[in-house]
Amino acid sequence: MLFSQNDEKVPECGIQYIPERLHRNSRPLIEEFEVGECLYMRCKPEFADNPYKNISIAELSHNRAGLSIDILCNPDDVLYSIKHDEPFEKYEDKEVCTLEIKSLTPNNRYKKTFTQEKNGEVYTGEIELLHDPELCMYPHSIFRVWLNGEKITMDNFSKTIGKLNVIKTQLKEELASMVRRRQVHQEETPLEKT
Amino acid sequence: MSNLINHIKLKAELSQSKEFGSAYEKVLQGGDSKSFSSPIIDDVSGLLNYILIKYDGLTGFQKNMLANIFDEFQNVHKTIDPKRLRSFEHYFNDDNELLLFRETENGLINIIINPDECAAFSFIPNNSEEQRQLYFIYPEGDFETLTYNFFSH
Repeated sequence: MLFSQNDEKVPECGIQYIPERLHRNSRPLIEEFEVGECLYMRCKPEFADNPYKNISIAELSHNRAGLSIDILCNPDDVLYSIKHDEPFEKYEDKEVCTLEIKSLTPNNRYKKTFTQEKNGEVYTGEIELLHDPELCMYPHSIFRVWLNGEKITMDNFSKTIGKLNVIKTQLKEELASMVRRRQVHQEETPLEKT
Repeated sequence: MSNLINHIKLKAELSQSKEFGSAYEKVLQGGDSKSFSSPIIDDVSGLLNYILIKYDGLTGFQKNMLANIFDEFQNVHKTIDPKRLRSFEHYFNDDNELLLFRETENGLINIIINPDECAAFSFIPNNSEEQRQLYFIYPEGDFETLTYNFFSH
């Protein structure tokens, strides 16, 4: 049992097969990322072939490797299942897709904004890379998508960003490029060629 | 239209063969995402019909955009290089987007036809030094340039 500095009980990982080194154990959120840091995604083998086939804007979990002074995980740790309702330890049908961070904002983040005007209204979509530690997976991170400040999930996708095809496609293109080229670029944007 | 009817009729007849019916079924179904390789599809209208039959969830918008695109593909087939049309694949994803895509030594090229509003052209080059391309096309847009971009990479 873990205790905080105030002697309060701290939640622990209850999944036995997850190595102790991956447990959060009260470790802090790391807001910054690092150029050269790797992100490890769990992918179906055909996913990287043409990511447009099944890329999801609403669900982009992965593990971060960690800052160079404190590596958090091995690449294949992302294959562990941390869901209590899944009857297996590892995703045997998936492979690890490694993305390298090539550029970030001046405060060492990744965040991009896309806009679309439709029916007289302006919509703003944002995608942001966030460290999102889980009890049993401290390196867990996510690409979070927002529309006009609302977090996009699998439940609300079709009613929100699903109806804005320009923003949706821009976000998918950004993500597809990452997976295809195995790189995360804050500074790079596509050429809008006509 | 006659191509479509003949396709359905031929498929039904071949599938009824006692000895080879299952083999013909496999060839004619084409799989989840296959290139333009069916032996009975030998023209552009045949391929368009094949896609329209295979993906019966397409919206009216998607069918219209597809028709516009294939009008230009017809020009490629007739005037430039009929083999070019054999170089692309198609897929209908869980977001109801119809993809026409090619993978070449230069990179991945997609035409993404959304359920409504617009289609998009995407080129993701293999060389990370080369810039990605993304633009949107609407029903009254320039499909000739779109087709050129799709086959030129």
